[in-house]
Amino acid sequence: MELRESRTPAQLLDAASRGDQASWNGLVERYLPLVYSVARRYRLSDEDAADVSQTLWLRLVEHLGSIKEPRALPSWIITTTKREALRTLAARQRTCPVDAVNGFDTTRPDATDSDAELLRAERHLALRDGLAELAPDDRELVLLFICDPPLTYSQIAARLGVPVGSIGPTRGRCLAKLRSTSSIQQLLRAHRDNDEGGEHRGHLVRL
Amino acid sequence: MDTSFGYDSCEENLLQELRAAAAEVACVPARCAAAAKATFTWHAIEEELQTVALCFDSAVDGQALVRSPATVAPRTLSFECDEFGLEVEIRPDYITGQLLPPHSAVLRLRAADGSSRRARADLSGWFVFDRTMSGPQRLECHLGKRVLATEWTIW
Repeated sequence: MELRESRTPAQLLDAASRGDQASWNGLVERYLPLVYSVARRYRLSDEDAADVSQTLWLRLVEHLGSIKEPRALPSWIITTTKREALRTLAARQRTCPVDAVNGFDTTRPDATDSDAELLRAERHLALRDGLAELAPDDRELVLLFICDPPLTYSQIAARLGVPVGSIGPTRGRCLAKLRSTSSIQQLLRAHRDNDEGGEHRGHLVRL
Repeated sequence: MDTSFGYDSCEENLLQELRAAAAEVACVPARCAAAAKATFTWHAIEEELQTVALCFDSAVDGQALVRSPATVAPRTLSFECDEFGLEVEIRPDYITGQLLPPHSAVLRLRAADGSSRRARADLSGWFVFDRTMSGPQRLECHLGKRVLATEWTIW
């Protein structure tokens, strides 16, 4: 997992708009998982999902100079990717509109599912950004707790050279640091501001 | 500081979400990352072009989805900027269209890797391209010293 980029999205955008390829690569590494996960929600083929992703990045190159509010970038990315994914789906259905076995269209997700998925994508982006904000030692610690395959507390204790009994509190401390990062605090504020009827809040409290 | 996350009972949920967030990174194909980074080669070129925005696509802006192959109409796209427009019709084997207002010009159909096909619009503005390239593409139109380019679109 590439989480070593320490510059903010605003710094990356600014440098990229002045022609810096390394900053562009930083933007790609930060936001490509978001783009690809949104594109995949529409059950596109691998090839179509890759085309949707490619289109998103080409459009971002076009718009680099005109992005005034870097914080709005994730929502621009989600909206644009979603629109291009739907366009691709619709264009494909025109070329082969009826599935001979299953009948018409089973590929378009319903709007409610899709909205929930987009909220999830936004949350995951904030979590990755939050991890990137942590000091390297804290980040390594969090990554130990989400290893795949998972490590037991004794294995983690052995790696860190500390007593098993201290792992629980250590975990609590590093997750508390993650929760207090500006990326996650910003997400919480955004959801609190948009909160109508508390339906979104549930996702955050569950975190 | 917000304390909504401050419940120990939430730690497992948070870790679950973190695992899912990490998995999203792992499932991006390497070729997508390489292709996304490569799109930056267009950055220097964009400044010399005038973008012609996609303003209508019958695949998404048109009437209800067509259900029978017998009645499938070709997909049509409209691009516009200022006084200039491009109407495009997508056929299985070729792309045809018209420059508006009608005039003769050299056109290029460009793929993201830089490869292109050239065609000339006739005096009525009509042009045809074979559909031999894949992935997002755009039409570039040379009008004297100006170069107009449509937004990148999946045809």
